[in-house]
Amino acid sequence: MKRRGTYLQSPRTGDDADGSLDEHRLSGEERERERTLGMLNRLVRRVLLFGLTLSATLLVAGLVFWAVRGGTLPRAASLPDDSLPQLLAGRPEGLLSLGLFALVLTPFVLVAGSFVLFARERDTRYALMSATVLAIMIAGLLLGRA
Amino acid sequence: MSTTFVLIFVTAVVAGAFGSMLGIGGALVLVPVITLFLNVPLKTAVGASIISVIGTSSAAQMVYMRQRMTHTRLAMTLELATTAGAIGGSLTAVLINVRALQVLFAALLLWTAWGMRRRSAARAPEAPTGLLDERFVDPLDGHTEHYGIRRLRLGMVLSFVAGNISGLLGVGGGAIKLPIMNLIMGVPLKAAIATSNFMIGITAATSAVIYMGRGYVDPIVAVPTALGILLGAQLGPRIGGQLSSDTLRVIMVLALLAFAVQMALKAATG
Repeated sequence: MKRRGTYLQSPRTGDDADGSLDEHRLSGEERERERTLGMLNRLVRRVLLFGLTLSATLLVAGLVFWAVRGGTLPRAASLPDDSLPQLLAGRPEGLLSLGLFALVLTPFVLVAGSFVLFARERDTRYALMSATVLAIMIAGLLLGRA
Repeated sequence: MSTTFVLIFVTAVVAGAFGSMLGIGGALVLVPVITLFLNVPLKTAVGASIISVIGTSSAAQMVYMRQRMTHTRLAMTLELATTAGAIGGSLTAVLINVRALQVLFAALLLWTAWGMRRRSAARAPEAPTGLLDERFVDPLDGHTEHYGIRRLRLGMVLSFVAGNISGLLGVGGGAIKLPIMNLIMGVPLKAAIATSNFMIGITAATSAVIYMGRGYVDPIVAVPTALGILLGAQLGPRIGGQLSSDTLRVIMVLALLAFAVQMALKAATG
């Protein structure tokens, strides 16, 4: 966080260390666009951080539960169809499976976020491409459950 | 039982640290160690590993996205092919012979070790080509780099193959995608690393849901792996400064070679 602003800012290009363009050199419209993209970018990163923290928390909580309750864990982690009921039944494997699933979901978020970013930029081609990648990923999810 | 658990965790931390320092996935260290030394069955190791790759990817993307280093458009284009490959690969993986997987893995280890044999053989970036042109700001010195993409179709075919391998072996495929982007398609090294890192998470997630659905993810292995990788990926960049990158590279190459030999032996003797 202390990197911002000072020595990493190049006087030549005026570009900031975080990769966004220096706002003074842009037209009003471009400035608006950069601001929106910056916001969306930050939002996606926040969701990612949330997802990773949630995952780690669920996993650690699940381990603690398991250590306290004892017993054996099932050999296979499950998808939410099963892990949610397990969680509600207070079983540690529910927490663990959900923690793993939360981690697996983070790239889904990245792809969905990319879709939103492209849509916002009116870039139909890549919005469609991101949507297709997301569709393939979801197909994988459905195939896995089959 | 809990000793194995802790050992898997420690291995994952080391793998995550090395992976984040060197820009390739921890899977190449993790899978051999836990299958060869901790008696984890290969398919179980693969299932755990594929999830840990996601940890490396998502954690690092928080930084790369802020730096606008990832070439998202290129990633999406290549991921069309890679995710399709990943579905193919992971569906096949649950059916395929373990010995075949071991041989493939050994081959991948050798391939990666070979690719790392000398110092960054990175290709100098090429000028914008009009196709998927992109720019980024180098955080080290603040200069802006402009580049374009070449040989997209070849890149897509190879990405499909990388996706298959990823699904089969539980690796991120970064060891394949990075050279594809940097050496074949003309992406500057830093952008290639960031973009490859972005892609491996997407590919791995596609495979991971299939593995989880088919019951190939064993929590006893997957949980310490996931936590270990998440921790290692945080530690890696921090302690990376202590060791020279040449030292890291040499250790890595030697380790990969050792694993390759052992994997091949295991496949041969069963």
